[in-house]
Amino acid sequence: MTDNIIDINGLNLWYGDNQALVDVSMPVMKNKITALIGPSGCGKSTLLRCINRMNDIIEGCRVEGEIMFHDRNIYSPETDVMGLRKKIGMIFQKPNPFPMSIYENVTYGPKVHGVNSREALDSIVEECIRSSALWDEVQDRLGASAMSLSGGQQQRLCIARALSVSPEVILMDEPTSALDPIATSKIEDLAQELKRDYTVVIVTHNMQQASRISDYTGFMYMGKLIECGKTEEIFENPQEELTERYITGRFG
Amino acid sequence: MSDKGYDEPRLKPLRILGRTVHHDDAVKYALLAVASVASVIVLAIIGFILANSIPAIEAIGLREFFTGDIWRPTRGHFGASTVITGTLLVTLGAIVFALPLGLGAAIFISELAPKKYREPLKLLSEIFSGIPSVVYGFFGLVVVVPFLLNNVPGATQGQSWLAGSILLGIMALPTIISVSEDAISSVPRSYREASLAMGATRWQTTSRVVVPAAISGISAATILGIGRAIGETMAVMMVTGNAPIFPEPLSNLMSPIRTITATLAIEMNEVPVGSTHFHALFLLALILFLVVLLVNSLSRLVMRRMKEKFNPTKQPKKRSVRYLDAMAILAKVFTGVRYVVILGIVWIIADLWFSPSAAIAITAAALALMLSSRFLSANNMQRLAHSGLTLVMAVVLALLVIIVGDIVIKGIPALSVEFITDYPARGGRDGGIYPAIVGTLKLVFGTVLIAVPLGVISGIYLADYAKDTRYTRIIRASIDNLAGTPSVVFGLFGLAAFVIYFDFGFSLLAGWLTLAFLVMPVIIRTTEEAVKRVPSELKEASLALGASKWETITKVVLPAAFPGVITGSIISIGRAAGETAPIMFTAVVAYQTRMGGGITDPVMALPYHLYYLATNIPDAYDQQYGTALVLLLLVLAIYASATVLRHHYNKKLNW
Repeated sequence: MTDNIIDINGLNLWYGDNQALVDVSMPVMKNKITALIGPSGCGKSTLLRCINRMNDIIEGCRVEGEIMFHDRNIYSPETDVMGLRKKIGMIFQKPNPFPMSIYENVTYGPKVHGVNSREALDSIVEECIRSSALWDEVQDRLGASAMSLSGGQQQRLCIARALSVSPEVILMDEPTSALDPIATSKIEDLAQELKRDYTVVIVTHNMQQASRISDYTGFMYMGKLIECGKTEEIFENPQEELTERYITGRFG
Repeated sequence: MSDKGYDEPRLKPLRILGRTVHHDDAVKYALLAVASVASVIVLAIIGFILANSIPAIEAIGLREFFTGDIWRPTRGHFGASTVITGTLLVTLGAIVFALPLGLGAAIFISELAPKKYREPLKLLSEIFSGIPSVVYGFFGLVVVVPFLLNNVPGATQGQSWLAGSILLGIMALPTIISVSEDAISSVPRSYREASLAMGATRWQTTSRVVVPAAISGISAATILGIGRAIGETMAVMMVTGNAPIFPEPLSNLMSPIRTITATLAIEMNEVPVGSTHFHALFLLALILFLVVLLVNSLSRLVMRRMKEKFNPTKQPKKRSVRYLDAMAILAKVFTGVRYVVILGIVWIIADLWFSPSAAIAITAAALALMLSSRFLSANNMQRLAHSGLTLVMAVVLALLVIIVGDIVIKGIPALSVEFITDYPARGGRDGGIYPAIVGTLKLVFGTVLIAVPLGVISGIYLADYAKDTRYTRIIRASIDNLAGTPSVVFGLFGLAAFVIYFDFGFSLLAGWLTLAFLVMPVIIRTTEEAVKRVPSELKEASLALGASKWETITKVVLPAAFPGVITGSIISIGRAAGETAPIMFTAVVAYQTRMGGGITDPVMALPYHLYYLATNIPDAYDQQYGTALVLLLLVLAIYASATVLRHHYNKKLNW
């Protein structure tokens, strides 16, 4: 049985005078993959970055409305943003490992949150790198620079890094757009694995990817959520004409 | 015009020495010849200084020179170990003072300051580099030295190692701030996002990800700051007391001290040409030149490594990797022992300022503070760190306000029309500074006339013609070295080459040439940069119409690059107007009641006049402040106009 882990209610967002999100409401189901699709500039990445408040670091950004996570509005003033981001991790468009060793990349998060014992760190590293399906490739060179990995390996290392602080939700912002097809399929397989233990929200402009891997899909256009629901329904029987035109490739 | 086939060539190939040379090739070789001037000068500097050092090596012996601790040239004692140690100690103190302030301010500007304040803060910290060295020295002499004398218990004199280090530290600040800030803000944004997205605080992100990623740039900044401090002359000479001794004990910050540069500046004017003493001074200059060369090459190596780090496609070469790993290990070792270093410094300063027992208490308190910070929550740690950084930025700005404010406030009452238009009287105690103003303008005028054509042509060659051959690499390296060479070394070179060898005597001409070679690298670099920024579409459009390369450059590229070229030239004017050391052995006299008109006559100049008044006529208080203010306003106005121009065109020309 699934239930909502996140509820977005009436979310509006402005960059300066520019409204980027208009009255967006949608649920995110626990242990499912939710995909956000839509043309470039439709606000899907902006919406994603609202969920762990990464938009806070952009100057002139203003948010109204609420996002409920465990029955609390993450935009309420009492929210511990650092604690929130620990619970809701993020994978970025371009792989962005730190210029440190593979090992240090994964231990960075735990150390920041106060884990210092060597054994605990070692076991986190192994567990997370295994979960991100990278262990066989790097187990004998954990001390090597993360920069020496291929793009696809780097992205899986970033996933391991995100897992290292035991999040509940993982946000993925077009995680395969900088990767080749083989590396892409590895990440897609990994996403399927991850939903057993985590909830995944993924932004993609690749509609095949959304239909292949997601359970739920939201279609956005010009800052508005046009339609959301089960992925089969969105792709086979869209309610809105705009959605149908987009997924059949007539615009976007 | 013919109906078919080609027209007659518009630009006929030239016949040179019986060979056919294409028009554009002829231009290329002509430009190359001009661009080679920089290399010729570097070779000439090395040649003249080396040639003049060798008699000293023969007469004194390197062993006595490096290990002897008595520097008394009139008695035949040439032990330079005290002045070499003096240079090292003053530089060390300057970096200890400047690194925390400079790095803190750089972090503040890049990571903490709201976006709209970032550019203004950078501009403000650049003012530090616009203040002429002699003005720093004057400020040090009239403000810092008495302050130390009155506030350090038991101090018998304020002219000291500490005073020198404080001033050199302030002078190294702009280099450290701007280079570190560049390095920190060029750390990819994605690193910051990755860290923040895991729930790290901003301070954790800064201290554990951003600063470590920028560490090579920060090291380069530090090394450049060291280079600046080692080569600095006027300021350090005016405040360190210039006694060629070792501090006793070696940690005694209030001991007078003497540096290599000060020794050159003080003794060069009084020494008989050709004596052992004369040659010994050139040997000191040679050592200075080599050390600065080494330090600057090191910083370039570290900078290159930083670029490779953010461009992983370019693999660094093997040899430099191993060597830079050593740098990384050094940085790690420093991070490991930083508490010990900080506590040591706290102890030395507390011991100096209060008493040994108080020093123990204060050091213990500092230790307790450091240990307790480990138990702070991440958020409180961030609050503490951010307040610390804000405080550092405030201190830096306060230093600027104090220096400029002191000179403006005390200088204004001394200003009057007569002060500007009158000749000095009674040895400088009375009267005005008219000949110094005119002399500075004359010096600047001729310098620009020589340096701008040479610099602009070299810049064009490097931007548009130079391929990456060994020869152009030599030219580039020469320009870099010329830019880093201490100004006092230029002074010695000017003396040996123009005053003595070419027999121009103490003259405007010798001053022009010396200053022109000093400022040339600035013009070359800004020209090259401006020419490179002209979009290649523009050049191609002109070439596609059948214009020659040279026509394209003169008619399309240069007009488009003009603002950049002008900016570089203006900056070089400011530099030439503020320098003292290069002209004090080549062109200036302290006192004139009438001016000679020829280019073989010496002149008065504002910076040297200020030095002369401050060190020789201590009671001419108004004259000193008035001169300092006029010089400061002149130089800052020149730099300000360059900055305004640059901003204006950067906005207008958005390629």
